[in-house]
Amino acid sequence: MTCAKIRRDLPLLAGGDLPARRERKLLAHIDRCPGCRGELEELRSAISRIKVAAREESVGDWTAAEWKVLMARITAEKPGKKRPAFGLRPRWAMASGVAAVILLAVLAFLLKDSIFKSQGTVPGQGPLVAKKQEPKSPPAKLVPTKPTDEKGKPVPVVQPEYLAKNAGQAPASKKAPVKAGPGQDVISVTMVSQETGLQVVWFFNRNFEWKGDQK
Amino acid sequence: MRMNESEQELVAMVLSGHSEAFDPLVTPYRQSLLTLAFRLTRNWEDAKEVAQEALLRAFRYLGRYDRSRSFRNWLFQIAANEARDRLRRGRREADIVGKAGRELAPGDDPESVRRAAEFRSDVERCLSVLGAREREVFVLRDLEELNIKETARVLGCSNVSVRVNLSSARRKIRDAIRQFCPHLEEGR
Repeated sequence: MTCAKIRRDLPLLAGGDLPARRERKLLAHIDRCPGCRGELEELRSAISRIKVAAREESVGDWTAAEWKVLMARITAEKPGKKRPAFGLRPRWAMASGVAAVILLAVLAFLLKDSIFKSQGTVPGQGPLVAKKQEPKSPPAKLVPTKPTDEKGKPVPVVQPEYLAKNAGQAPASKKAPVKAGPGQDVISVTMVSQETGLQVVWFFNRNFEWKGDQK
Repeated sequence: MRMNESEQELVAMVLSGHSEAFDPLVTPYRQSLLTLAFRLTRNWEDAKEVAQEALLRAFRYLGRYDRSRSFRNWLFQIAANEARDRLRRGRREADIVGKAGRELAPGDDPESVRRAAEFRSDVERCLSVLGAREREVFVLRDLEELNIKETARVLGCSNVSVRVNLSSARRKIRDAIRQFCPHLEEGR
């Protein structure tokens, strides 16, 4: 180790502020180096002398009367508070609080539907009444059915020829060719070709919207 | 140095509304607090104001005091901050030396007062060569005899910063003694 490196640490060594290992290293060098030893002694002496002077300078103290007045003045205040009043809290704390409230409000608005559905209530409407499930089977899976009346008897099927022949006229039959019962949601219309025997079944929903067909 | 049990009790009493317990809590430190304030400001009037303010703040914010720490060091921290603020405001810095030290009290021995004044003057000359941070570090570590870690905590800086400032402060003090007060005697 060079003297320059050693001398950099001498002030700390003089005050005993180096780790033990570093101190041993430095002292090993100082034993062999009169220059560094001299500087160390000078630093130790300076610290010692200023300490003596500081001890002797006699700074002084409050008089008994001054101390009494001071204590009375201090203790007239409210004793140590744990936290500052709400209005005196740092701005960042208040801003964080406001941001948290806004975030919660936004989240509540966004998740409102899923929350209330899972609870079965909608605010202002009371408990939900279970809705009648409409069949949602895809058209491809629909089973061709022949229209039947309320007693289960088959209802006459409207043939395309009949429709073409009697277009614009009221149907001759008293019964409707296609009858939707009160609880019926799917209506099927079957058309049969007399020549080829091909059957085409059309499916309509309650609003008579075409839902699919099957041949 | 941690807080002792009686201090814990006194702190608890003050916090529970017994303000009178504050006096016995701080009395053991009143001299060292005033001395620290004087060494940092080098002015008797400023030192008294700094120490008073430190005590007032200690009372006001006692609820925030971390009981795992030394109460003395906490007081020192408040005083050091207050002294720094005061020096930053630049009050009375121009005539620090002339007004340093307390006035002669009726019961004082004139000779001892004169000697004390000489020492004060020597210490002031030596400390005047230091920068603000160097002075704080030197006063706390070498004159108040806190260790490096305590000094760092009181000043709110790192141990490395304390070591660096302490190192340069000790060199400057050595040079100042050599130049201004070679007559100072070495202690035992």
